[in-house]
Amino acid sequence: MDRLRGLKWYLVLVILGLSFYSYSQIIGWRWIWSTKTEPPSKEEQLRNRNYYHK
Amino acid sequence: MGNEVVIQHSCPKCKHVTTPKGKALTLSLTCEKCGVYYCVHTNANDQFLTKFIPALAIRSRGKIKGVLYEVMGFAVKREKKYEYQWREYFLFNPNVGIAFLSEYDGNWNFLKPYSKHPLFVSYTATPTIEKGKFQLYAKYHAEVLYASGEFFTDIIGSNESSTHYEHICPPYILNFEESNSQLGAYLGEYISPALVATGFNLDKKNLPPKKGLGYTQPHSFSVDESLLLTISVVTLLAAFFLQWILNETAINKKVFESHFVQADLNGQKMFTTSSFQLEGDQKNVVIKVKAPLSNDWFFAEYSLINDATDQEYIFTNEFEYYNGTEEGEAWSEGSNMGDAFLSSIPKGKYHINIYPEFSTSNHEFTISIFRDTPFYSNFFVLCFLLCLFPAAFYGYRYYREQKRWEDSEYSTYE
Repeated sequence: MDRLRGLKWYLVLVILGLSFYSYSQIIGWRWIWSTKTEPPSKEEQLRNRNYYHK
Repeated sequence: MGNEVVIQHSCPKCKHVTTPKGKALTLSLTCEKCGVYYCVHTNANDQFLTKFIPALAIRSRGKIKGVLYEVMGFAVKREKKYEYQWREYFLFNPNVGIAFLSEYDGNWNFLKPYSKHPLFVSYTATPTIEKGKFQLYAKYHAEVLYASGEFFTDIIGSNESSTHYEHICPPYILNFEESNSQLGAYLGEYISPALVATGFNLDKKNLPPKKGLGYTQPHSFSVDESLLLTISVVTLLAAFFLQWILNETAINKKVFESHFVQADLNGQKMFTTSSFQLEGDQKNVVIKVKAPLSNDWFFAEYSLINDATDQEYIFTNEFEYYNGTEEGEAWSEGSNMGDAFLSSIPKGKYHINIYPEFSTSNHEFTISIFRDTPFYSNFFVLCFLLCLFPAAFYGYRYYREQKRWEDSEYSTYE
């Protein structure tokens, strides 16, 4: 265990990093360069529904 | 008690009689009265021009590494070529033997005689002993500027004719002294000023102020380098393997494709796609848009809408493509294709409302929608983050080693 001195936290971060990376890949979450989406304003919501249900 | 022989020496200059603590072992000493240095057998003597005050008083006692030593002598030495000075304290314990405390710029080393020095056998620039592989740090000739107390050798005579080799493997140091008449070897270790102060029951403020990194001083932060390397490599391999597995298992399915022409708008401002099914739980959606552009642009606002819940994701995308010839050479810029990557879109039936902005020359576009497309950016970010700590560690170590070796003629650092 003495060999791990100073590396325990790194090992923990590595395990957390790999887990978080796997989870992100599985749910298709791109951390960077993802297209920014915004919730619609009330006006846009109304506009979309009106058009669609026409 | 009655049989004990009292050894006394008389100063060749002032005739003051001194009783040495080292008894018969003392071969040289300084007169307590006039300060003259003399050898007990030859009476060769020296008067020092400058007086130095030792940080550890002669005759004071202190515990180093659990052993109680008495300060027998103090010497100030100077390297002949570069003229830097350091101070040496000669320590003695009758049961354990002799030792030295050496101080330079407030950095201390504790040294003891070492009979297994590889240089006793043959010269090597990188002697290896049980403590590790040592590298030559300094080779020099020294002179004694000042001495007080008593010594078990003629420190002036032996220093004047000796060549000193200092090899280091921090926190350890190997010293080798070679002259026509004698060889001496010492193995030492860096000792913090705090430990020296504690050992001699002194206030740390009374010791010389520490300047810079001691040449044998260990790094304040160190890790098992081979283990760090192993963890880093294994983690990168694991990330690579995970990326490969996730790529292989990605659906990567085209769920919709259609071509739109401006004329079909019929005065409306938007197109609506037919519904398409997004499978899986939460996965990415990639929308690729193509338009036959030539020196033109295409912009559209998109609204991805869940048919069942009316959950909407609004985004925009713009691309442009310009080309031509200049001075007989063809050039082009941009692309006639754009894409949008939507992260973590839940499964369900969706459609897209598209609000295009056509230019005067382009009047059509094609849209393709993909579900669960493999992507690599997270992998590269992960690799970058995983390499940060090892890179910072090795960078820090390189910087500190460079500092450590900057006073050495034998530095391999630029």
